[in-house]
Amino acid sequence: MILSVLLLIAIALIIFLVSALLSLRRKVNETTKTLTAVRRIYRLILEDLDFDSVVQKTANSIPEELKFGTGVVSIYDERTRTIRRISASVTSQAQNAVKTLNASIKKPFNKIEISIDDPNNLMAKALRERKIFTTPDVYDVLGPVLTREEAAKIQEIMGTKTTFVLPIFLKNKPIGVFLASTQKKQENVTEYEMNIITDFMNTIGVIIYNSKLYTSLQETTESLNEANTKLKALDKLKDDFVSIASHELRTPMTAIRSYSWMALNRPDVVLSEKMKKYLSRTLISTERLINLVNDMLNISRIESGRIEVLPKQFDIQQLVQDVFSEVDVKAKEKNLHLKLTNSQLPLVFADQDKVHQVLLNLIGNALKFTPVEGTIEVSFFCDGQIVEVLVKDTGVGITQENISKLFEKFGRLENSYVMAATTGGTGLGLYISKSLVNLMGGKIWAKSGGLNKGSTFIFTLPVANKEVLANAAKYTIKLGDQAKPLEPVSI
Amino acid sequence: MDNNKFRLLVVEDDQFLREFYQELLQAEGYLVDVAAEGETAAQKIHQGGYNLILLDIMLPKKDGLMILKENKINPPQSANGPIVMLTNLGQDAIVKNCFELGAAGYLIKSAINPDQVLTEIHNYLKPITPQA
Repeated sequence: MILSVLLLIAIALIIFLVSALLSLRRKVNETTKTLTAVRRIYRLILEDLDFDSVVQKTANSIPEELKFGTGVVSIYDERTRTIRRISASVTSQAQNAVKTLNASIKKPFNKIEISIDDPNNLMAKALRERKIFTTPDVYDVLGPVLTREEAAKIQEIMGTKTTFVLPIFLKNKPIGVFLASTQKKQENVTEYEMNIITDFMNTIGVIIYNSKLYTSLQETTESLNEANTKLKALDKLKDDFVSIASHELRTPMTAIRSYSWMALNRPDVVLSEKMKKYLSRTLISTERLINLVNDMLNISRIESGRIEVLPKQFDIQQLVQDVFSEVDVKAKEKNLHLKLTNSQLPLVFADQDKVHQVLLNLIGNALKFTPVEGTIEVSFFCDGQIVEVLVKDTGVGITQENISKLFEKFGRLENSYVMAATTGGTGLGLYISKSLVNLMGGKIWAKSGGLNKGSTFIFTLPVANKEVLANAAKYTIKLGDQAKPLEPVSI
Repeated sequence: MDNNKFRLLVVEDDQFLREFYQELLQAEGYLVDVAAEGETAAQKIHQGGYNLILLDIMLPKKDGLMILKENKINPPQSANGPIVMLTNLGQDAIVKNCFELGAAGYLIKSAINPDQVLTEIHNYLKPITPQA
């Protein structure tokens, strides 16, 4: 007796265990199925980052997976506090409903905006209360924008029996509402379908939010690109304007210069001493003005990065010799001695035109600031890596505190002003020279024993050795169409 | 030298500068013809017979570079002497372009004194025998 009771208990236990096991297995299977379905949906949606296609795929996902009639994505706009429909699934029911809304009801699908404060609309309620709602009546999600009759018409077209209203959140922030409608009655919706809908709702927020960010980033990039193109065009207009304006400026300045020269130099023009003085000051000032225009053009080109540096190997001593021949006439006017101290030098690797400009400027300055019978000497020093070019004069010199100001824009020193004014100096030459030397990977500095003790200007250039030639790109600035030429230096 | 046997053409659109160069050169005894814009200049150059031509670049109707180009393709009926650019455009690329198109010299108006212009002209004319 006891034995059969025990046997019965054992059988009951086994039956219970087996059924529990079976139910567990069923649950596991169902969960796996749900997870697989949800994963499938995400994978599809995540294929794209663009907001419009992410939203479209989201709208399609539930109808596709669960064979529902429609899916609609609405986005919540914080600024206007409204929920606006932005995408409907491509299912025939949804598309027919959209068509009817646009054409016969004349309330276009994407114009159906629901205030989040609407007391009756379930979409507003779902967002406010952070809850899923289910309704058999589409008026609950279309009203009050649509009348009851209009909503009934849409419901008929879609054949909808149940609509799920799913609020979408991300980190507690309302993102939008997803509507999924089916022709099934609510009681016929399976647990599996409910699971998918809830899982979907819980994670769709981050996807929509990310794609919105991505798209706005893309839009920002696009508008930045557009702005950049416009700026480039404006920059070119400005450049052209500056070029033309400076050329136009030079024409009348040349006329002033030419006529004052003519007045001063024609033997048939008789001038009083005062008139001569006035005219020669007019002439010098005009020369200065012309030089200023050129220097300012050069500075604007240097500072806007429009100057190319195209280095090659060349003999710096030969270039100094050429510059000496160029300034020979000026030197003779003041009886200045030009001296070149030759040394055994390797070739340098630099942009010859730019070095020419720097030499003209430094030697030109020496010519201006050295009194008659003085000497201007160019010598060199080389340590195998760089060549130092030293331009030394026996001129007015520079005080220690002024040395640092030399290479600044308009850094002309007080005691040099009168001399500069009478020689057509602009106060920009050394700044330009420094910029050019730096562009070529060199340095420039000055030293002086003090007032009336002469000055030495030194700049360095890289030696054209194996290492430098192997790294030629480091010393090169190629700009193509963007490049602007330098205006010539006058001395 | 008998400057009055040399025929010079000055192409310059700015009236003051044109008259300036005309006066400067006439005072030296040259026979000076002028053109104030590119098309007239091109016609005169094409007719030819100048011992030297001073040619601006920025000109109305036809610029100096175009005139050089046409002159190269379609040589003048009667030969001309050298064409020397007299301009305020000093950029290396334009200078190079002018020489490639057959210019013999390049003077920057704002950078040189009128006496230097005369010296340059004198030097360009030195090897040339005046045209009959």
